[in-house]
Amino acid sequence: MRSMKRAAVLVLALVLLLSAGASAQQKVTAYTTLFEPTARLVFEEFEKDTGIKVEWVRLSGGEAVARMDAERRNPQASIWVGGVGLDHMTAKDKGLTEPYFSPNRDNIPEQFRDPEGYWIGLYVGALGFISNNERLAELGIDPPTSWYDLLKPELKGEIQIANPGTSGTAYNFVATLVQLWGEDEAFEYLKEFHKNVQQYTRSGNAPNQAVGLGEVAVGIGYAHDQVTILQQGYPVTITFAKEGTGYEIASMSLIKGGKEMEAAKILYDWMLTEKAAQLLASTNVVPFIDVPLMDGAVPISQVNVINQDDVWAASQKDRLVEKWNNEVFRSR
Amino acid sequence: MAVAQPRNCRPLLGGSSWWQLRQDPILLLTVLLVSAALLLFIVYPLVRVFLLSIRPRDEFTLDVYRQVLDSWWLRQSFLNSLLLGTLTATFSTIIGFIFAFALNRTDMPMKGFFGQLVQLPMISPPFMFTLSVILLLGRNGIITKALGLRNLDIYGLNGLVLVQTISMFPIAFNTLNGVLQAINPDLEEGALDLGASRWAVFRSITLPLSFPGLASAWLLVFVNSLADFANPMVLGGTFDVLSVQAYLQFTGMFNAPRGTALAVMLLLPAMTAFLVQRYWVSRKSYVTVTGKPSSRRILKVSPWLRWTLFATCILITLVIFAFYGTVVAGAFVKTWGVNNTFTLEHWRYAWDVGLDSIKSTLTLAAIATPITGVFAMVVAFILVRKQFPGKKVLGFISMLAFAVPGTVVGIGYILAFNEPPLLLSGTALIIVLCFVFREMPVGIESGVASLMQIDKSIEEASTNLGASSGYTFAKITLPLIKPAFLSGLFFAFARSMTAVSAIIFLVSARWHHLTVLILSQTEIMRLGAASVLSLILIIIVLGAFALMRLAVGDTINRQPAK
Repeated sequence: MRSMKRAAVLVLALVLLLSAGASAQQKVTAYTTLFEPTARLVFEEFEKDTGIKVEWVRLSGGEAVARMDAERRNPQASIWVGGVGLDHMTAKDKGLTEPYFSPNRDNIPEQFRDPEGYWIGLYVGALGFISNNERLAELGIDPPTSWYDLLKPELKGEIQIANPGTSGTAYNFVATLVQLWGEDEAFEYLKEFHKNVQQYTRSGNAPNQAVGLGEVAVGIGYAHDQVTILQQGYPVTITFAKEGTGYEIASMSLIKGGKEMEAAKILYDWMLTEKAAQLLASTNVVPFIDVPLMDGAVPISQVNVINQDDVWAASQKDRLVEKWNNEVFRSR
Repeated sequence: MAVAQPRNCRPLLGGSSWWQLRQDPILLLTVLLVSAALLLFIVYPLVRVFLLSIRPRDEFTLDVYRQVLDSWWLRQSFLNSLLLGTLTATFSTIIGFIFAFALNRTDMPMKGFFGQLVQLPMISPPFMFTLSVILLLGRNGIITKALGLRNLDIYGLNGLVLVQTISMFPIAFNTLNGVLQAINPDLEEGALDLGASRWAVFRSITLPLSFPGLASAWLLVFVNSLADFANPMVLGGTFDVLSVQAYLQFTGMFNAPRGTALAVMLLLPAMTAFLVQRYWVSRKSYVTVTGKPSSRRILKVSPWLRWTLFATCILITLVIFAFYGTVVAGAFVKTWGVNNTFTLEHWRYAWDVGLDSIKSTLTLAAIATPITGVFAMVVAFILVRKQFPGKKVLGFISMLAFAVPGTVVGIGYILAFNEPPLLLSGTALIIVLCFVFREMPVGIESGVASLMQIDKSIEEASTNLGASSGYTFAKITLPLIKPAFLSGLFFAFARSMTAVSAIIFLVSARWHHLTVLILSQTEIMRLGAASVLSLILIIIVLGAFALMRLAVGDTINRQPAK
């Protein structure tokens, strides 16, 4: 009786394992750093258009690079869709991705793609301030519109931002200030700013959530993530720094040594079409291709953005983060 | 001291262990297989990661370790990890013992209920639990506001000890429950009949006999707390711990060598605790189950004690209910904390996006659990009962994967199993193996603790009568350590259903995991959908617990040995 049960379990397990192997449809394995519903929407539509099934795994940008690096000798995926441009530059520097010049690449302005063809931008998101209306009312202040508003004594322990060591969003913030004011002045500012920070979170989006829940008054993050919080019904306001703010270029790369390159390139080309841009826009982001935007989404033309040099920022990352660790984060 | 003496004290000479191996081919085979499995699925992946830290660029160097030891903020993280681990382990063991004692040694009301409830916190979907705490006790939390505790700060050590203790005390309870069930009440009864006070009985019999269990429980929680990164990540505030730093080095700074070095530092306290515990406990005998008939009556405790225990259990229950109530509420309201209208839309959404993940998660956990449970008991058995060369090393290795942060295990598994002949990435097998070898130590620890209480002359009687050691293990030993076996199964299943840190590197589109989906829902603040998925997960695990209890209970009753 028992041995029969055991045999049944074994057979079941075998069947399940074997059935995992068989499938005739053309497919492509993708890592994606798009938000989960966005990825679902975009990839399902791609399958409808082309008949190619996208088998995708959702990872944060850092996790994607770490996983690609560990799998370097036998890559499991062929394309990485989404994730901040800086992470894609890291992947390029580590030799994890390979160049591709898509026939559709001209749909994307030249400054938002790699001249060597390693990565290409999909959409842009500006760094914004998200404020909890109720919390601000209690503190008796207005939503910040300048970087210096964040130094107000009323905001002590009321600001969240991610840790630049873990989050491309937060490193974008540090790099923006350095490009805006020069390194010395930027770090003087960061030390002052540090006194008002309640917590440096792991993920770039966590501060937006904390503000939504009223845990802190102000958070710094990407505007398109903040619009999502607003649309869920949380009482928040989104504002921008008038001195100029930074932005992310959510990008895409082909993974070096991927096994389904042909299908991956079809997906790559498709992601650069107007249709894909419309789908992306429906999830509050602002694609590089000109398509109608959702209510609340802020086109980059309406925000004062700095003249940002991501290649420079990527090359300075290790040094600036280490400096931030030693001079700002550990200074308490 | 009323500790019963084992009747068979064979001197453990070095030569006798080889002799025993040669005498018993099944034992020899078992030891070989177990060692091979542990080497391949624990040591090899960890060595692959470790090599990154001493050979970052094709040549041997200890620079990474020098840097780590030199930076004071990493030393501070290390001390913080130790402090957190010690506090969590101590509180968890105390609470676990209170529950185990109340359930096994008193006639407290609602025991059935508490017995079920205590398993609940083991099923805490990652991040949902910390989210509940923030919603309740955060700066804008429901309780914080209701009680006007505006200055309450749960971000940091206090909050972490609270969350970890509540989610980890069931590990302590399960170990101690097995141990207390195995202590023959005749001893306590006998002492009472001879005129000892209840306190004297507790102090001189129950407590000392529980000692292996207490030590095991403390160790497991301590190690678990050190490796936990989901809670400190969200609730840490400015309180840095090593497991979080290790994760950040891997995925934030892409500095795998330094991440590994931190994980190695994390191993030191865990392994020290392990060695101390083994050394301490192994010096005494705790045998009370001798095969002679015994009564299974419940001892009378004073009403005062009875109601104190009851009140404590109720208090913990309320805390657990508050945490889980938040999840339940979140599943049925539009926007948590903002728009509290009743809705079922999250269920529809969660069903659409989650069904495949649920199926896949359940399959993986269902395959991994029985393997983990049986394997753990086999390891525990040979560790306690058999003598063979290299036994201490084997025990040590079996704990390794548990004590290392999941990120490191995950990276190690990719490095090790992404090339032929061991090309496992993308398959279900790699996830199952990761579950088995990572979650096995809880089963081993409870198995070891229970076995130390069972006189081996029972098993020897069986072998003397001609049964093989395999038959004896299946028919005599396994039934006797049923509680430990069950707790190993429960833990393996619950953890397989809620794992995230190692799994994030192993999931594929086909073999997906529910917790990864829950995580991505919390990222976009679809707390409703995340709550629904968490709730489904909790219900599945509870259902599986009931099934396992039935299945294992059934098998036991058919054993002639009882």
